[in-house]
Amino acid sequence: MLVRIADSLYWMARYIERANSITRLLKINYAAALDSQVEKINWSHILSLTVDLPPEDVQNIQVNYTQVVNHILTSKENSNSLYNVISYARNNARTAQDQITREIWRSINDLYLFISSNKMNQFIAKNEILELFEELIKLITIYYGNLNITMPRNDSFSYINMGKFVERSLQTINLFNNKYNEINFNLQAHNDILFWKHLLLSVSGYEFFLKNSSQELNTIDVANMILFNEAFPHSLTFSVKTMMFEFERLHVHSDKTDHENLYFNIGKLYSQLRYTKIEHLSPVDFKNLCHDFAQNLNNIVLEYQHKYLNYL
Amino acid sequence: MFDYIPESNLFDEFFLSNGQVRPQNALLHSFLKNLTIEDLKEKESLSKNIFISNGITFTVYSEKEGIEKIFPFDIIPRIITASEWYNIEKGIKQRIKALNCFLQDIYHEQQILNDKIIPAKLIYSCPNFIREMIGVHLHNQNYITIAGIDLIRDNDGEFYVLEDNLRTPSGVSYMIENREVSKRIYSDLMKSIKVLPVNAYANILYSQLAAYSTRKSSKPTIVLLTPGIFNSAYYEHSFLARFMGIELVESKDLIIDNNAVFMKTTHGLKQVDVIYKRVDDEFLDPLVFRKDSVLGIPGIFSAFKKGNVALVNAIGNGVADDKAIYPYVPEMIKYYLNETPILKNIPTYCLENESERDHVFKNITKMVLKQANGSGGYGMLMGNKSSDLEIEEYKLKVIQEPRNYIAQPIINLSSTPCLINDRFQPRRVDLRPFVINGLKEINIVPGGLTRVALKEGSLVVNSSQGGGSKDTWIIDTH
Repeated sequence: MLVRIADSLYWMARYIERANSITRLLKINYAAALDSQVEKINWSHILSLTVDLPPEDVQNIQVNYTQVVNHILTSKENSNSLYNVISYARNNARTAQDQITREIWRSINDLYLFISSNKMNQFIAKNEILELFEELIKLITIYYGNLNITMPRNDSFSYINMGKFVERSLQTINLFNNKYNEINFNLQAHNDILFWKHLLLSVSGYEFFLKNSSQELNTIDVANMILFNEAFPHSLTFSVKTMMFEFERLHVHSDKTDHENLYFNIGKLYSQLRYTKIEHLSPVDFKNLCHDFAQNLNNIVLEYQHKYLNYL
Repeated sequence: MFDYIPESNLFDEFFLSNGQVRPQNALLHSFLKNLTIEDLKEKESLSKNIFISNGITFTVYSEKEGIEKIFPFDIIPRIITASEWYNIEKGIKQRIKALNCFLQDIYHEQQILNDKIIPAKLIYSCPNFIREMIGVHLHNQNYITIAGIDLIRDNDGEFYVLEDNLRTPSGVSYMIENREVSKRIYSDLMKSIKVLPVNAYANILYSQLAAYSTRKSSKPTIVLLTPGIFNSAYYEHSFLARFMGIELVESKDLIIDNNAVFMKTTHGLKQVDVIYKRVDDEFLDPLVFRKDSVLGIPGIFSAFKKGNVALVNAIGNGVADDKAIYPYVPEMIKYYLNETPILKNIPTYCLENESERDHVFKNITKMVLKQANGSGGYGMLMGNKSSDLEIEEYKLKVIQEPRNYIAQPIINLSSTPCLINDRFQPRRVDLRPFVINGLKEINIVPGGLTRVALKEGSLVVNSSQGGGSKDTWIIDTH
């Protein structure tokens, strides 16, 4: 496969995963806001994850609900708006159209047609925001369904999977760090049940938690699940393990030095995740550990893109 | 349907001049007669959804925003009988053979110039006559492999050649997609009408391209070279790459090493044997042609000359589809094949010739003037639709560069019913069959792209000028 096409498949998958993550995050937080009062919701946490603006601008727009929706959903200026993220995904899919199945192309094209149509504005104008998120999640789920049932398990699929889990791991650790920052990484903190419920819902893990934990929602169990549970598909460990598997499958025969270095770094991160116990960590140590995970992950991703997807 | 009134004094593809349905359209006519306007609108909406959802689009250069457009599709198919088709097929094959001989000759011995069949001046003044190709031996390939020949039907019911497209003719993906849509909206009808299939095109093309490989290999590496996703025909490029199972490459994916072409794959460099290029010749190699080209691959011309890679179509074909050369194609057929042309040309005036120019200027309201190297319907003047000022401005351009212009009498393209604003209305059509000229045989899939001038009274069918398309059914009535 062409390196340029591999790059397009990787980024297509990253952008769709980003769209998925942003949509679910917005839906949960918007629904949560309806339980209290919309005016009181603190959008700054969501904006900081989804808008590429300096903090002072985030503070300025977060008080205006219409501006928030516009910036996150339809803005052409915000490179992380859903409109832009889905447009980028489609451009990459279009470039790699001959390497993906027709069903996958159609599902991404349908997603793009929806986000660029008047239907979006109609949902916003009628204030049917939850309906809008449901529709988007449905379209994204169709993409994932098509990916799973129509795509041959070849190199193209592995690059798509690589992109998907790179993005998912970055989204998970960023969301996690953002949320734990609100309690200063204090694992003994007792917080509102809804605080943890919303975090779990944002990573599609609430039901998993209920089924797999006999305990009530608490800081340590939630952290253990999101960071380390190998059976939970949105955990950091699950994503890193999948990245390691796809990396080895794709690049085992490539340049030995590059391959060995990067494989070592991914393996090291996986081992850190696999053999870390957090129960007795102080807030400072836990914060450092989480920041280390994020930093190591970022370094791996940048090195991977530079060594294996650089076609110029 | 039957408030449809064919245009007077025109050949109607559906009805005879006495108002009766042409026999080949009888079954389609009965089928349509039983549909309500709601049924038709439903079919129209379904077809639109298929095109939109599949992203079957083309790009218009002049648009500032929303550059991708859906190619308008009219749901009423155009039917041509098999006997008419066989004549078209024979005529096109004859034409392609002669044009291929002409290219071989013009870049080597130039006998046709020595025998004064075509004026040498006309060739040497053609911007698409590539001097670098003189004396270049093609290794195991034809000059013309892929061609689209534009045909129109005049009032006499006969097909005429409007122009030859021998460089990078587009539209074949729409021919195939249109048929797929027809199968969905006319599934009942198509069970009873035996429409000749068009979907073998990509397989035939792949076999012919594979045969061009000069390396002994069980599976030659064939790629399609596209200028990129912003090119107007990008959808077609990706369509063809997908259906042939070949890589769709851009210039940045290719490099030259030791006069061979390699592509950058995830497993290292891989040698390329055949390139189906959809990049214009002048942009292909910045070392030889345009130095500012970012779409080209430095050194590819040298690799081609050495026979290490086949380029399809070959470089330099533009000299054969130049509109000023077109009037000489019937002469070429006689000269190279010693045959009488099966398909006629439209009378054409070369405006470099003073007496012909005077005649055209005097009768300009009955003429269409075109750039000799223009395409896509750009740079044309329809004498009967233009203002005095537009005509005067155009004449000035002609006088400045007469070699670059030709004129033809305005031909009445045939018309056919189209569903427009919920009723059937006549619109003008042409036909572009697609040719694959291989080493052993010439293939033309039965059908082609029927292009429709969707504006009332318009004769311009180009997609870039508001044209649309129809499915073309070749049916055997016997």
